[in-house]
Amino acid sequence: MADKKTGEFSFQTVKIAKVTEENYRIKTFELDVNIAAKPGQFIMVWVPGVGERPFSLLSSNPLRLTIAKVGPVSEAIHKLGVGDQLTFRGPLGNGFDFRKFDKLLLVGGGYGVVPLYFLAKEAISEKKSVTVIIAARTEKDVVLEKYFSDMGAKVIVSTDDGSKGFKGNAVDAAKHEGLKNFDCVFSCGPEKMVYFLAKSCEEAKVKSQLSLERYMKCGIGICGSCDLGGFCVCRDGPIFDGEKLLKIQDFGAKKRNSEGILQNI
Amino acid sequence: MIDISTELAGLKLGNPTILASGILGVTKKELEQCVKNGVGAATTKSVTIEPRKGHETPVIVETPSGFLNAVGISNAGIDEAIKEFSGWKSKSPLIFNIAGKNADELSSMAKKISSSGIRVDALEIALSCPHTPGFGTLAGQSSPEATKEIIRAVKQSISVPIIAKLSPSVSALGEVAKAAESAGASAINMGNTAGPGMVIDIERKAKLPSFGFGGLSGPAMKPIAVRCVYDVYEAVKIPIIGTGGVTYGKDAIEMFMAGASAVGVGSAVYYRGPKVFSKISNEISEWMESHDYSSIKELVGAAHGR
Repeated sequence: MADKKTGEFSFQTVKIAKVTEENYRIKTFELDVNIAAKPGQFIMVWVPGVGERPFSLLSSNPLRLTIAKVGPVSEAIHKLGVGDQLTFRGPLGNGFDFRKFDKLLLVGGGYGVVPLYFLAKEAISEKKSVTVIIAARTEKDVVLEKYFSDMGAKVIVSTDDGSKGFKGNAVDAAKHEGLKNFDCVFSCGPEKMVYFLAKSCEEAKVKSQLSLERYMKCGIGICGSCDLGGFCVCRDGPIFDGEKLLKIQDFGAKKRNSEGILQNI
Repeated sequence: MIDISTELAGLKLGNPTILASGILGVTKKELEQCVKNGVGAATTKSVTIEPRKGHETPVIVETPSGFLNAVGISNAGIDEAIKEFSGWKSKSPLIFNIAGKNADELSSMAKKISSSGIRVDALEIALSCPHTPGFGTLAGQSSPEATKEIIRAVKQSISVPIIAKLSPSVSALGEVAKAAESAGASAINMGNTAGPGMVIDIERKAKLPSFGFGGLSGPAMKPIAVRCVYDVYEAVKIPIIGTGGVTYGKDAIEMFMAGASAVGVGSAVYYRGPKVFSKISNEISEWMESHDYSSIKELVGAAHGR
């Protein structure tokens, strides 16, 4: 690993160029900047007076963020419009490693599909076969369907209540597609979903790369807040191989809050 | 390979690199990972009597050749921490760092650790946090009087060696170090972050870190840390951990010559990655070999009187 140079981790402030409403609680923000990022990496967005949180990227060129309103920082971002400032640092984290695979299955739960869109776009441009499962609780939570179909990915929608597409959860939908038909499964979504998907991939002897979330503060692997079994999710992740994760006791079971106290997921 | 082991407050370290408190150290697994990566001794993040959320993010911001941080001593509290760090099995010592509002709070934490029976090889007292109201320098714990009162109280509550972690931002540093020594500290960690300092993001007209100011770490503070270690070495007989900006082996050599017997490593985990401990150790032994030194002892304090 090459040594870091000073200045690699500074904030930059850019203007919002476009805002698209994706559903009742999710918006896409296009920013007036291109960054050199890999699918699966993230940035830390700082809203002065509110706080700083990690967000995954819908694209890097231009930089687009698709953000669900889930807490104070995302709520503050949702109030922003075209021409407003957005301040961030990054890209941070490792990103997906997809180049050695040809047949890719992408499984996104809820707004977990966001980094998978970035991945699909890059993979298709490199002539990979991409199938994506967009899983949600119910029809109104299905997002980015048209983004994926426009680029030529095979799209399967699944909802827990059957209000749209396949009736069942993401793992059922993935098994229905036949895990063995793919070289690697890439996933992002609620951790229980990701956990059971990892178990299914292990049983089917198919590789998996999974995006995880933990409470992050520094984002650069030094504060230790986002510990998962001795690894920093911000630096060693957020993408981990399923085999590695399944050896970690807390995966799918427990995460730490901002005080560092372990809590059930 | 050259022997780069060192002794500190009765602790035997295979090499002189110590993970500084506040870097990783939230969990035992993180500390075990540091051992795998070659750390000589691992220090927990500061633990307080009650759980603390700490300050709102951003808690850290980059500055020229360093960082400002104001994490706000976020931690799970002493009871959770005792559970978290129980069962330490490594040959590398475990240093348990505690922070408190006053001598009573700190000595009651020391008693809890002592009566829990968990393995703790040394107890480090954070007298010097620069960014958390009620603690460290903001609570006046960096004066010789407060240092003496706190170290004495803690010393009576636990039998393991006590390390006093001092602030570089006091004028009568030698007096503070002497106070710690006379109260029974077995070593000085010199020390905490410098400053505090402030960054203003000019595009947002806003202060960073979000607390408004933070302690300076990284290469930018190294000359301050070296001078502090030098002054403390002149003032006391107990061994010193030199902490502040140590990134490469040559930085550690400089700390030894100023008077340190071991070095704290913090921000360098960012600059050089988690394997920084073995990288620094290798560089130390290469330097010693090429300069015909066979033990760290020969280097400690070598620059004094020159």
